[in-house]
Amino acid sequence: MSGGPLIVQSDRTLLLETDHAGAPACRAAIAPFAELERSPEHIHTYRVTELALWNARAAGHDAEQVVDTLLRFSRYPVPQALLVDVAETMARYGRLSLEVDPAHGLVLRTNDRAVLEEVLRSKHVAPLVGARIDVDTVVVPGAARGRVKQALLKAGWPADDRAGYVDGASHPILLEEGEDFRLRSYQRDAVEAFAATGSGVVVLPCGAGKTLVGAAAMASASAHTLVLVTNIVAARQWKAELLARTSLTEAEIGEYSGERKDVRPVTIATYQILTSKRRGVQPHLELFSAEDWGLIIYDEVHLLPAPIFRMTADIQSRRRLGLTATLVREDGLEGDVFSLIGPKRYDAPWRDIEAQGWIAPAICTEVRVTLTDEERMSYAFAEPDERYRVGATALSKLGVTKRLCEEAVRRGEPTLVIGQYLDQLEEVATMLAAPTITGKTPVRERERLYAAFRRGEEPVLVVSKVANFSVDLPEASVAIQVSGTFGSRQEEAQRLGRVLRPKADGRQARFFTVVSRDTNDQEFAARRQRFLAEQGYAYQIADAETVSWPS
Amino acid sequence: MPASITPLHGAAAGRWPALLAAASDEALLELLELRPELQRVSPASYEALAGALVSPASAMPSFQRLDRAARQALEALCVLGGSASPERLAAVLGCDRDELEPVLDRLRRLWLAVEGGGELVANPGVVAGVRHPAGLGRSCRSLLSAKTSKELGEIAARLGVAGRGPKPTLVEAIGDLLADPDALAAAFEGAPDGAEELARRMASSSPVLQLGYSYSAYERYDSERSASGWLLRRGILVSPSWGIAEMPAEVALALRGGLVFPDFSSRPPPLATSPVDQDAVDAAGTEAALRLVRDVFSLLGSLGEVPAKLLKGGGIGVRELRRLGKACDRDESQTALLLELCAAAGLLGIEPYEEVALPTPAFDRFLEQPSWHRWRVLAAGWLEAPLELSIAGSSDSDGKLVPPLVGAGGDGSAAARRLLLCRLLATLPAGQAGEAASLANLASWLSPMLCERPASSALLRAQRFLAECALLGVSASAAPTVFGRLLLGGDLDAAASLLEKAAPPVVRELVLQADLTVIAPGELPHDLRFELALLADLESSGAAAVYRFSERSLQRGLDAGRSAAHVLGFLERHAPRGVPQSLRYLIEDLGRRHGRLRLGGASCYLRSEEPSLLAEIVSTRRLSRLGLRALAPTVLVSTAPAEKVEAALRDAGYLAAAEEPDGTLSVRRPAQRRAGARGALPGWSAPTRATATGQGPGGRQAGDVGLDIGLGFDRDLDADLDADLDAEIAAELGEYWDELDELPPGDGRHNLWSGRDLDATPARGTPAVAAAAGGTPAGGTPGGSTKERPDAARAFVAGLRAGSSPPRRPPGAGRPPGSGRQSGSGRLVPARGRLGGREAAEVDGDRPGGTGARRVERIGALPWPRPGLGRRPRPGTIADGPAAIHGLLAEATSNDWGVRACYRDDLSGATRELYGRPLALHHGIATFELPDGELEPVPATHLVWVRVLTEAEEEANGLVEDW
Repeated sequence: MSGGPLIVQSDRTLLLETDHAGAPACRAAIAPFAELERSPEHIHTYRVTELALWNARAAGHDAEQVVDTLLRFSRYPVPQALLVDVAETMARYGRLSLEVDPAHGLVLRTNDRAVLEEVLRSKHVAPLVGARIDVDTVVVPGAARGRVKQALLKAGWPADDRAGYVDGASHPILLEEGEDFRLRSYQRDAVEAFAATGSGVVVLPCGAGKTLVGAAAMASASAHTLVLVTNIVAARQWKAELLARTSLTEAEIGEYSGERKDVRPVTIATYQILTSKRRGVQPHLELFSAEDWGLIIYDEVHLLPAPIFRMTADIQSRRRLGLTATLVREDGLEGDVFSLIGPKRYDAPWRDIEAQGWIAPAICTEVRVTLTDEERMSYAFAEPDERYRVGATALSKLGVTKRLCEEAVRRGEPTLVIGQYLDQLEEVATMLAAPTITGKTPVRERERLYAAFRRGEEPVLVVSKVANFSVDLPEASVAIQVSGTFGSRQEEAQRLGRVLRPKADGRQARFFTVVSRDTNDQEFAARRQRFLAEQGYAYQIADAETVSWPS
Repeated sequence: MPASITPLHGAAAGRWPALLAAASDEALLELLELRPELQRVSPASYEALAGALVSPASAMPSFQRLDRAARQALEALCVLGGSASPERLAAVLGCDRDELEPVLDRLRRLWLAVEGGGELVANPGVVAGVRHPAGLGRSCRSLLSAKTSKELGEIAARLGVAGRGPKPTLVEAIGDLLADPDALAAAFEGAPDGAEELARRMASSSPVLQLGYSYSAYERYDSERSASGWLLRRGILVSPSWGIAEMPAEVALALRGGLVFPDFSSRPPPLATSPVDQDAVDAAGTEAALRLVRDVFSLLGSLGEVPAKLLKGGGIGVRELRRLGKACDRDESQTALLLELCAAAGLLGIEPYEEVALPTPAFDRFLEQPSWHRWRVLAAGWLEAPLELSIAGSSDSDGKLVPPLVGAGGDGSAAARRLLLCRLLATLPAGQAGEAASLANLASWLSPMLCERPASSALLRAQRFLAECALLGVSASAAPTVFGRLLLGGDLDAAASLLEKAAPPVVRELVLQADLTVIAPGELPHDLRFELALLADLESSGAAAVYRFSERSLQRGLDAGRSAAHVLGFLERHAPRGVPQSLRYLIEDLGRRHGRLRLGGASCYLRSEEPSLLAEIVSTRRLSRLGLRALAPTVLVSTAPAEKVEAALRDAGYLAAAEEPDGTLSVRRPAQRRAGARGALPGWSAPTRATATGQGPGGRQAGDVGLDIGLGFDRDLDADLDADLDAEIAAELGEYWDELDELPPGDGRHNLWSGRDLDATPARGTPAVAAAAGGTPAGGTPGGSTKERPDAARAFVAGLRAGSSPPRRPPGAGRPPGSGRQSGSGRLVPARGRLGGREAAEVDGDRPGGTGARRVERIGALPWPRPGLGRRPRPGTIADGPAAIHGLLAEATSNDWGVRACYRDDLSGATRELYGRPLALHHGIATFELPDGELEPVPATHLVWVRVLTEAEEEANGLVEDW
């Protein structure tokens, strides 16, 4: 047997030994059909999933290549069952295809009649399709394109969507690359992977410049574009980035939010406004059909709310780009992302991009605080549903938070203190005499504070979870998390992302999470860290009394 | 060219003694070697030997084991009246005289046909024993002669033959027409649906058709509209007696196109091959072998935790299979096969009192061995399993799954057939794949007895065999793997050591990572895996293993008595890349918290407000046996029951007021359960003996012998095995082998079976044969000349030549008294007092120097011999279906019960019944001892039903013990 870098397990996981000489080649070869599950220090785990295999098939790989890759890199004999399964799974893709018929419009066509008969008998597919044209073809109403794809994926016969995309209203957009700014190689790869297909998701770590991938995608489409972001601050940052890096001008970019509702060739809208209800209806979802969009960009696609999924199902003829740092969805809707936004087109492990110097190296530290006896008693007597809050907001956390902040300020590190509970944040802010930003803070005030923070006038900001997403704070290099949202893995990743943007002087970023020992705060912390630990971020654990500045 | 048919008559037995006397020593020795039961004949006279030689009891088993060409040649000879010139025989068979020669030679060597005066004469035992040679009925003449002139006239009219004249003329005319293929084909004009099909089917299979006895059945076969009726009314079928229709031989021959055997071929069919990528085959096979080992590990591991309940009728049901299947990620049918294989390898047994299946203690030894060695244990179990393992898990005729561990698939010939198929598969050159159908064809040709009962299943069996091979990694895509080839050739050790090279290495080093996972990049030794499984949860298994630590998993380790320091020490020893800090912290943190809250068991407590009183009680010596312990100054606990404590206190002068008791016992990691040795499945555990003794590739199947002869395997090794089997198959196989010229001659083959512990392997012979076979010399050098003849045979021949009995052996060294006696006609008569295994062992023990110790195990080939607890009540049930019949026969055999058995006649297809005592069910042949002392061999697959006789019935049928 060859001494390859890969061990193929019978449960469809692939173990890649990163120190092996053949690891880089192997990683490149398996990436198309295996999803990176975790990438800790020595051995990375990939998983060969149905979605991943179909993805690979959609990208033009065939089963023979996949099997050959596995055999070539595997250290031990490869499980036959897996090889057979790979071939069978990949053969399921493309038996059905969505095409445009000159006479009938959108049709579902098959090269395997039995499959078509099977899916047409499925109670999930039957109501979505129209008349049967011939034995191999059935009409699909244009509006049902997304739902048919969803249903077919669930039935295990993913359709090859060859119906193409409408170009949308044309609008020239140029990327202004120059001396001071060029697309990084992985960004270029990501854009190319997307542009080749017209729909899909690009997975890049926070701070790796996803906005630029979006801008480059807009440039390649050169059409009216709708950008969907999580909140208004993120919307402003998108706008600023687009103005700086593309030929777009202020007049061409509209903001569609609670405050303003401009529809321009490039419109940036928040998830919140789109899903807001008035008398039981969501009037702003109309925005999807307000313009002849040629491209729709979904920022932070892992947070995409269900109504937007539903809306997205109806606009399958538009090009769609999803951007995210993680495809992990706490609600498990990864399959919907696949069928409605599109397959994953690009993915890079965080550590790799960090190694290339594009994101700041980070040191993560979990600081454990021993509660006082009084606090332990109040934790013990708390109602079960209050326990987490009582543990997470223990006053004992304040001392170490203060010491860490002071140390950071002394070292001139811009510092964010992030928390979940407002009263706790108020206490921290009072203690540190630092400003607080919460959901109630007016946008104008927020922007003022961010600006002051950037200029260094405010060395410390205390922020609630509103700052979780898309705040661009280039100079934040220390983040202290005093409490988190239960065990949300993606939240932890996002928060770490706050400090991962590359620093001007190449400083190391530091991420502290302060945890109350012997409470469920500690368990939730462990759960939150799992994603990052799997991505290769090893948490150091320190005691509040003895914690020193990590280097 | 239609053969003229003459009625069968027994050939004159008279000239056989003279033929024997005229034969050379070499020919006689060969005969005694190939048909060793003849050595029992006493006195050693030519008359007695000839009498035995031509008795159906001796000749028929030899006939049954012939290859297809020899068998067909002999049957054709019977059709020709029992004797014919070789030229005529060749003509009837449609082949060249020269082509036929090797076939005839095989018959001559066995004395199933002899040549004298240019005529070939069939052994009268075969002539009498084969009821419908070549599947042909009686001649037209004999069948039609029984009809009235009126009936004949009607038949002639319907056939369009001039319907007048005296009866013999009519018979002649009808016979002539029916013997003419063209005229016959024309006669089928206007036949009702199915008539021609029925006729062709009968022509190619059985000449006799059961019509049924009812009036309505009569009406049907007297009708023009029914198929059988139409044929009967034209003489194409004739009804010789009520309810039976027989096809005249001429008709069948005409329908076969004039040849007795249209499919006759003097040479074996070629083995079809197709090229494959040998490297891919090896990789796939290695993976399959390793997966099998892993799956057996998880399957039996989960069985050890939660044993599988047996069904009422025995075996493991679908529900349990589904549960167990989850443990090894296989479907029910594969799981059933795995269980059967585990049982065959002695790893799985039955706990009879709880009626559950459990791993045996052998499984614990199995666990400690590396993968390749475990595979060896399983492969040895498979090679020698007396059952066709994959019957379990297949679907029965009702589409229901045959449960494992019921003894299904044991027609007695499974091991011999497996060996035959193994050898055939091993002849494939590297890079060539076989194919089930072609393998089945060849195997059927070589041994119709092993492979063609029932006829349709040869292909199915070859497919099952290939599936079993694939399971073991012996072959992949029907091509043998490089180590599989060694196994097929019998060299288990070499196969296992080749596998060792391909298997993932045994690693003692773990990779610990910050995300709390731990990866073993190869196979873990048992101790390490056990410890890791305790401390962490398995996340992914395969060639490597991934475990994950969690608070819960570590808690489990601490509960099992590990300390945090112990755990860390263990990890540091095995993790050269270090223990990540997060993991270290988790362990230390948990260790710190562990024991903060304590839980214990006590059956009662003593409580008092006065600590001094309790201190006094604790220090009272006469109360020490209560195991009192102070938990706090005011609380004592005891593990003794409250009543006992109360009584003891009272005796010591303390009066305790009762409080309501409380306290529970925590249940820790459940112990792995094992079946005791008494639960081992007798029918399955053949290889355990071998593997337990650690000697060579285990015991062997008696049926190997014949194959070995033919293949040139060492003769002496086979000396104490059941030599009456498969000699002919083997001879043919040997010739086939030579023709293929595949195996290099010489030492390579001789050494294949060396090193086995033959003494530990009781031969499973039929008692009749085994008890009588004299000692054959042991200690011949392996690889010695196959021409060397056993001393006993030499002595016998010497006796013949001298006209006297062979010299008696010293007491205890010869056959036990009464083990066989001879009737006046020289017929073989079995001993009444059949030997139990122990008696035989004692006999052996008496034998100084152990001349080729031959042992009799009481029907060792049968699964489920019930433990004889006194006299068991006789079951009144009628057993039908192979498994039930098998079980009932086994029971009857071990209890000496007579049975009534209904069986399908070999060639006619008609059912017959017999009263008799079953002696053995071996190699697919059930041997019954009839009331007159004669032996009746019946192929097990031909048994339709069997019922145990009552004692009264036994008496009425002359089957009482003391005859």
